[in-house]
Amino acid sequence: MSASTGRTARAWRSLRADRAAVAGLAVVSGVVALGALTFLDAALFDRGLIAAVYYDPTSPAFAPLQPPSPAHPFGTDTLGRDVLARVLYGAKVSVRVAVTAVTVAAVVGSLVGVLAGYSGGAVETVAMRAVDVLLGFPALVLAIGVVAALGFSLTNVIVALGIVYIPQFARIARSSALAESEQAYVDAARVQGYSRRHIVLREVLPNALSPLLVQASLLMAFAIIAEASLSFLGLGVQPPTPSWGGMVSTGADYLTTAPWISLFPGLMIFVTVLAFNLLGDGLRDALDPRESPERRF
Amino acid sequence: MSDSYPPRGATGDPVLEIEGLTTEFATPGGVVTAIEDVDLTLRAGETLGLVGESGSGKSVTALTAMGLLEDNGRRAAGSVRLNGRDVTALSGNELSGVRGSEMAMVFQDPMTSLTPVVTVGTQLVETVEHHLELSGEAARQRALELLETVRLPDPQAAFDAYPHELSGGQRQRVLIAIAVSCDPDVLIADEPTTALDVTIEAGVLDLLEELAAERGMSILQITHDLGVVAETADRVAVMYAGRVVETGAVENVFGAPRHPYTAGLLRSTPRLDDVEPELLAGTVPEPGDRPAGCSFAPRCPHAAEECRGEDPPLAPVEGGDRRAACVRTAALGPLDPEPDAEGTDAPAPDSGGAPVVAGDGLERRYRSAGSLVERLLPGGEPPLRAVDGVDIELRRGETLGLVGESGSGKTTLGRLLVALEEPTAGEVRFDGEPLSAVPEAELRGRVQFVFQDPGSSLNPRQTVGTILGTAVEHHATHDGAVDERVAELLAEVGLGPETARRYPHELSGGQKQRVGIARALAPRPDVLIADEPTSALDVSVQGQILALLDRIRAERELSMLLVSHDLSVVRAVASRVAVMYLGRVVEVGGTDRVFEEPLHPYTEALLSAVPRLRPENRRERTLLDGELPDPRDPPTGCNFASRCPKAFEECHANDPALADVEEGSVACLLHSDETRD
Repeated sequence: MSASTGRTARAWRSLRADRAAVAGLAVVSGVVALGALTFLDAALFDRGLIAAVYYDPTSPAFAPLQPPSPAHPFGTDTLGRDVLARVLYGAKVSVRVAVTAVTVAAVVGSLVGVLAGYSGGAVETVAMRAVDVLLGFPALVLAIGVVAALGFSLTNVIVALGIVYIPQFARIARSSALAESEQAYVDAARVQGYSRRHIVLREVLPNALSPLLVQASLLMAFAIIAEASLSFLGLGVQPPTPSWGGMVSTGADYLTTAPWISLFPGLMIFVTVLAFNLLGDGLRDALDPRESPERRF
Repeated sequence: MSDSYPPRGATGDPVLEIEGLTTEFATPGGVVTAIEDVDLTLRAGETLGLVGESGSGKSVTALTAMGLLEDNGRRAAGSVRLNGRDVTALSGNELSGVRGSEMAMVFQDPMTSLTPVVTVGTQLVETVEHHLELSGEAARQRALELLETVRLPDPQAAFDAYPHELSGGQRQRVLIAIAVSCDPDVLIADEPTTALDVTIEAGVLDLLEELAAERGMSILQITHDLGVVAETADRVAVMYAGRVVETGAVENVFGAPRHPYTAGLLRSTPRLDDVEPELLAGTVPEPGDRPAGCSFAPRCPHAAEECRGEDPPLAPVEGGDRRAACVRTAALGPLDPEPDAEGTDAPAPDSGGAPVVAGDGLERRYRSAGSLVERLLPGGEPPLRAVDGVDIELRRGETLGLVGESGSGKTTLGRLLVALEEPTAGEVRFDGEPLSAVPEAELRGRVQFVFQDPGSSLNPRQTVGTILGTAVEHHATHDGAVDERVAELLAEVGLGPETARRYPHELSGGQKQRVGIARALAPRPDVLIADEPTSALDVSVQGQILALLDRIRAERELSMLLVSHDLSVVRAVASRVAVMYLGRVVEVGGTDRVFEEPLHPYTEALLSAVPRLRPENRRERTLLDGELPDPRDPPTGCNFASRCPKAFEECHANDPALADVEEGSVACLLHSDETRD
């Protein structure tokens, strides 16, 4: 074992041995790359890139309700826009919502949870009861409430989901911080006289990170579904910006006559969510030291 | 009681014969051979001690013999014959029939070996019903008899108890009851007393000895503790790096070892006598990482060129069944098992030294955390008195040993003295000033702590360099670059500068503890409090760490408090000793005086319970009655009176205070009339 191999290297080896997780990772990477690419395209070139190589996802330039054909592999929608172009562009919204909302929730939730778990006492009671209150509402209902209060926009969807997912991280962070705080290295840090800030951020948090990472990847899947649900209800991204949930929603009236309008964005949601789940499960196994990749006779 | 035993070294018929046993494990790095070509013979009615450091393969040998290997292990060669029948050829079902009825096993950890959700009685009855085909009342009666056999004071109460309601010693007795329920011919005891305190250990060892004699049972006693072997075994087999390196009658092996490893182990084990343990350098090589030739050669003081060629076979020496695996046996002759040096308990109790850290009437009580309502209502469970009114002084430049069994409060006292915990009453003074008056930064810079478990006291996500560098930067004790100071610290504890790039899990236990010591030294402290710094380590590594601590103390003129349950360790290092029992200090004095003429009956019992390394003078142990009383509800009067062999009437009424006597102080009415109010 060379000097630099740590737990990370071992976890990576173990993750690579899990074929489902590798498939999940591949799909997730693809979707995230697609999201990043479309985001840059929209921000820098005003959709010039995709229009140059394919079609503009927002301009109704074709005959409406065409079934899939070589010219339009996923068909066209009610307004005559290319479904494939819109599905590709939908990744922009889904990825942005999932990544930002979960990151916000993870950062806030983990800090609250780790601080509560390490400090105990009044800090813990107040923080965890607040988390319990948040958890008392069904996630989607709370998100709808927040969006309704703040207004219908993509940013508000992200804010709403960010708030809704805080408790998930706070709880996990607290319980793993509680377990880590029992370890002698935390006492050792106290004997050295390190500040509470140092102990929480540099000693406890890095050791409490594995379960949070797993939770983050699983919640990405939930966030994509939640965004799709909100868009389906008309609370999320406003037209003509394409989003997978919004596309499923507009296609719902044409399910019998033009199923491709809902089918392809629906498939994307399904595949992406499945991929995040597979990756999350794989991470859970890889990061758990008890699941060592021992061979058997 | 020893009259009824078969003569030592009885030459009964062999019941368990292990021949050429080799076991392999599949690991991510490939197949490794854990034990190789192991030969052992256990005769009827005898106790065979199987001794070695961790990684020597002693447990693997037992598990292979019992057919209890995990899925990633397999027997690659060799045979195991039980009463003449080869058990390796048996099917799974036949084998479980043999286990229990002919061969039974007792494990180290009595808690995890019992099901926590079922009462002890039910578990025993199940075993009896399964193996003896008894049922109903008969099975119940048999189970109760078994509990009586293992000398549980109240068999009926134990029958109805859940495992967690019993103490460690009682649980181990229950496991022994289950193991002997079917009258096995062979009992394999894998470190049966390692998790127990010495006074409890003595009772369990006596019990095993008596059961073996009564039932003509043979015992394979697996242990890392040479003292346990010396006290209980007829013959001994010493294992090193997966091989048996020496075997023979215990008096011969311990009296005149023929293998340098046996001699090294014996010479490096701390003793209760006033001798300086010697260093046995290096560590046991990992399986798969063993050197060519004799595995011990790199650590052997007698190694020669011929040792690096071939792995020597276990060959007879001196006739009889004495065998050793060393090519130089003839050249070396019998080796001396005892270290040469007299004890050099550095600066003898310097009674003039001013106290650096002192505790005054220290008390620490814990309340079991109940619900909010329970906490508000009066009454409820009385608090647990972990430390119950302790006065203690650590003087400048001395090493004070703090000994006691688990539950005596020694660790809590250590933590109080470094302000890891707040006392419920009393005061800690540092250089004469109360702790509240000492600035935090100064306190942390001057008093440091070495932790018991080096595995958990180092942050697994940080490299050694980060761990030490953070401490160095925090205390700003470096003149030049942080890296240089880290390398300096590593060198001081005997590690190379390349260690800075490693993560804790890449280090051995001894190396981790060295890093822990280096971290404690980073602020250049005056006082070091070491909480069981060697209890998680092997004998030879323990010696190395103790020598390191002693050298550092002398070089840096530190004052050190060494908290330990191991009296031999304290004897080897400390200049003064304080003995704790149930939250109180019962005796304090110079090391030599306390070990040679103990005043308090508890100190006496503790010393008598420690297994000695000289099998030729085995003696009756002073056994203490019963278990440690509940620290929530200590007895009235002297709190040792309930177990004290010398207690008289007054002891149950008056609570003795720690009073000064000629050499030290003692809290016992036999020596002083002073009482606590």
